[in-house]
Amino acid sequence: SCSLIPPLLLCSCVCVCVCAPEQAVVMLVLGLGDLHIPHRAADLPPKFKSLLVPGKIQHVLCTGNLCTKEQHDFLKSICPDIHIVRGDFDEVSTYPETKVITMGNFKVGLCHGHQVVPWGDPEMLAVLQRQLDVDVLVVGHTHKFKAYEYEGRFIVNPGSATGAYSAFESESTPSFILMDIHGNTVVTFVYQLSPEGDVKVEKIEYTKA
Amino acid sequence: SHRTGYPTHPSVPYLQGGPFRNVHRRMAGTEVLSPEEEQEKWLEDATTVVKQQAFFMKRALDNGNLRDALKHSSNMICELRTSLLTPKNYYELYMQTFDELRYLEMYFTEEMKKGRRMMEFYELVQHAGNILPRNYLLVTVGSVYIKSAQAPAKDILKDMVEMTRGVQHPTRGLFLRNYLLQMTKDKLPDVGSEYEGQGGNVRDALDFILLNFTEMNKLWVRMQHQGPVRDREKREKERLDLRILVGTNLVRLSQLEGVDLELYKEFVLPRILEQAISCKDQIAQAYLMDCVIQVFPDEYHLQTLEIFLSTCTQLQQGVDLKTILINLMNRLANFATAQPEQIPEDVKIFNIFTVYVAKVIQHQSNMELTDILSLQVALLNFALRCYPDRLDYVDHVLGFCTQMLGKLGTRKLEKVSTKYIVQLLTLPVDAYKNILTVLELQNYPELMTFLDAAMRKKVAIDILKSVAQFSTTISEPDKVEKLFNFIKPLTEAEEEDEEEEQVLDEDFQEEQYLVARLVRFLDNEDSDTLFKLYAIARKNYAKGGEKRIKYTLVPLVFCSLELCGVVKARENEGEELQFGCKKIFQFVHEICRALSSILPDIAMRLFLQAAKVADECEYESIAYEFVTQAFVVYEDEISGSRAQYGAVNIISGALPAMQNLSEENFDTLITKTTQHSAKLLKKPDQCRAVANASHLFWVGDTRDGRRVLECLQRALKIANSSMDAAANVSLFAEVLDHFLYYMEEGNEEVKPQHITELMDLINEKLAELGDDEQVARVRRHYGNTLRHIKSKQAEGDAGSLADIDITQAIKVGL
Repeated sequence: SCSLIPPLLLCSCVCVCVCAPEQAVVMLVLGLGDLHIPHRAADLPPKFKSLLVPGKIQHVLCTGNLCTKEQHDFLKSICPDIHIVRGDFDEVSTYPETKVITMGNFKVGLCHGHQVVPWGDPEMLAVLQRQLDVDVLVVGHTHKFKAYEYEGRFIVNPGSATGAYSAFESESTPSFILMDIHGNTVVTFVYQLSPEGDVKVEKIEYTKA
Repeated sequence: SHRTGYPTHPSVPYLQGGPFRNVHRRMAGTEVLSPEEEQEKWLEDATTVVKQQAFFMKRALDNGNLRDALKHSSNMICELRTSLLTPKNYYELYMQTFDELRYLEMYFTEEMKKGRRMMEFYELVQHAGNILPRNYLLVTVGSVYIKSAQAPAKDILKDMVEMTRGVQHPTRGLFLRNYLLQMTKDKLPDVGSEYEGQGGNVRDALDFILLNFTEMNKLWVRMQHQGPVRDREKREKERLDLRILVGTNLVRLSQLEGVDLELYKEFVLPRILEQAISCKDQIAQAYLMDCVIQVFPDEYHLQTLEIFLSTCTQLQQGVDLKTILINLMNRLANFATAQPEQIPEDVKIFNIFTVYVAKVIQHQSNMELTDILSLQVALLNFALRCYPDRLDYVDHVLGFCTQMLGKLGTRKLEKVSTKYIVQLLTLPVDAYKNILTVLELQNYPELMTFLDAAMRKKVAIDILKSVAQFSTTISEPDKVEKLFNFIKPLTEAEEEDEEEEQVLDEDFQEEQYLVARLVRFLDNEDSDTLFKLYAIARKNYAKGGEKRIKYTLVPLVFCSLELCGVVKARENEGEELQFGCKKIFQFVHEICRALSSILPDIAMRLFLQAAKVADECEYESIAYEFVTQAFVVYEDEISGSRAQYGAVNIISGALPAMQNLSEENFDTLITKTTQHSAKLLKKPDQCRAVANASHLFWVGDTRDGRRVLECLQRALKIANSSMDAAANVSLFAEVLDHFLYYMEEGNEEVKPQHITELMDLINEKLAELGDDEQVARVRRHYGNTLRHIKSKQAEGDAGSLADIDITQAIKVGL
């Protein structure tokens, strides 16, 4: 798939793209969390909702804090294969604390992150990553988007999809990520809602050794 | 012959008509046929004759033998003299004949082109023996005559419409006149047509059509009284089958270019309505009124409302006026939506409708409640679409219904009535797209009370969904109060409720989340007013009892905490506020306490969130109080071991963020946390929680390396005491992570030998263990840890992990 144009905008505009022969299977993974609906937000931003339509995404990774069944059902409607872990405010108690999923050549770990003390500490997050033995770790809790490589592994925080309030965090920009996994590379697109109300997209690439 | 029962001679000259009898004689030996089969047979027989005679007619025309052609065409048309066929079957026969007569028409047209005098033909065909063929032939020639323009169109039309009077049998007459109408379709002296001027004007065309219409209506009404009473239902059905024949006249009227609004108003409509009233026939009246609505443009209706509606009140009792009025109102409502600028300013349409709807209700003394309500729904819909600014119209309708329902007393309403009342309440919500407008409707809440509990909830849910859908912001206290009054069915428990069932019900949950979401739409630039709005919300939510507040209060806490930020900023500016941070914290405190026993896990987390906000606002004692409350909830309400483990780790995560607590206070809290960590039920939980708690002693400026080490060593001791070998090596590996973390952080109390000793322990245990799933996981983890150490050493980080010897570990085959 084209690495120039972000996948979701690509799907919503007509664009001809020649795929390399070996990339027969499209694997787009949506990463989002900390929606905190209805506790801290009424709904997803309309501009995000219009991007998240069924049929475009193969897997969903949710870092938790949805917080209710209604949001669970919404995610399920976008894509049947969803993985959710438990956040500290989730009302559904049956989600696991952590999850490891194999996606293509990658082992992906999913955890909300409030279990890692100190909260948001990069070294302790790396510890969690080593414990789960995963190439990519997707965590939330801080409501701040982050994506970086550390000791050959990749850590990404999709932020809060609604820009929800947190007493422990000052500003919160609504954001979510889309990971395009092919071969040994993950291209992560982050979608952020600017204060003016536009969706801005950036990307970061990670190739495992 | 199927018709007369007598044998037929094909060569009977058309000049002589046979005696006409309706006798059907069953031939001996034949079986009895069902009515449908009889009809089929008769139709088949007649069609055969038509085809036969048509063949002869065409042959005669080809040979130029007009006499014979007319003779055969007359025979053909004579089949239409039957009284035996149902209207549907008669129509089939009629269409057959119609098609065949086109050849005859073509012949006359050819003759006309050759310059023949049409008057001759016109007179010739009138020698036909029977009146029915005579008239059909007359009309056939007449239409070509008009085309020839050899005489004024109006004269020919007048003659034909008079001559057809000769056929007074209802079915036959109706079809004959229909033939007349069809044949003269494009031959009327309308404005802009070729027949205008010498041929007449639009008034002549109107006279022609109106006369035809009047006669047809008379024939149609006459059908009602033909025959015995027991066959009435069958007759009425047959009448309905034929109604389009009468209606076509009105269609033709509407197609005339020359009929403008003036002419319609002054002349056309009055004549139609006059006929409707005078015929005193229920079926005709219902059909004609509806036909007028369908056939003529809406702009005309808007200008002739009063006369039309007043006619409605003069119709027979059995006519379904309600349907007529509803059709009219809906039609005009659609028209108004599409072309709002066409609504005339000077005509007070809504008032007219209100008056006449009331009259109609009075006129039909036994009108059912459901019918009255359906009229009101149509009226309301009309008001919403045509006059979107006139709330008073909508309120008026709601008021009328409220009064009427009030008079009936408390009665169980039918499902249909309920449906209409729900429509009356939800149509405005959908139309205005702004709940603040709906709140202005005075009669709204009272009308809601006539619904049962389930329906009231439905309306309330609609209201809340509208708020969410259109993101309506509500910023005035009185509006908020009103809104909560409107959604009372959701926020307050009612006696009719099945309370026990509801608690687990998913629908109930969804409902309450909708209610909870409402606070997100309360906003005001002035923080004092905004706080008042929150207080109103709190007051109303409280009425819901425990079952509801566990859903509805949590968002209120977060809204209030967010408000604190704004209020603090204003306090810093030195502004005088009615509600300062302290008041808001009190408010939050009260809510969290209310939730403590119902939702302890959430309540504890809320207390911590509040503590952080208080801490940031530098209200130290309040922050401390909130943390204390968090502990109280933990100690008193949180009992399951999994819940406790989760909770104590949250505290360990949250406390480091409290930057403004005094050293003493902070120390008390972190010590307490460590104690709770050590007192958890399960050993692995204890171990992990204590290891996490170690970080509490390594915060910002207050870093105490020794106490950190104490925690870690305690964690190890706990891990060691666990009986499960695989579990405890896993814990060792985890505690190792913490040790390494502190070494990298520069905690001097953590020495290389602490780490090497721990690693030796792990190596030893791993060597003993097998290779099941859990152990494999630990090996992978430990392997990653070693690689981490190696890569750090390779970086040349001075003093960090340089002194650790991992060679031994590597030898153990990792």
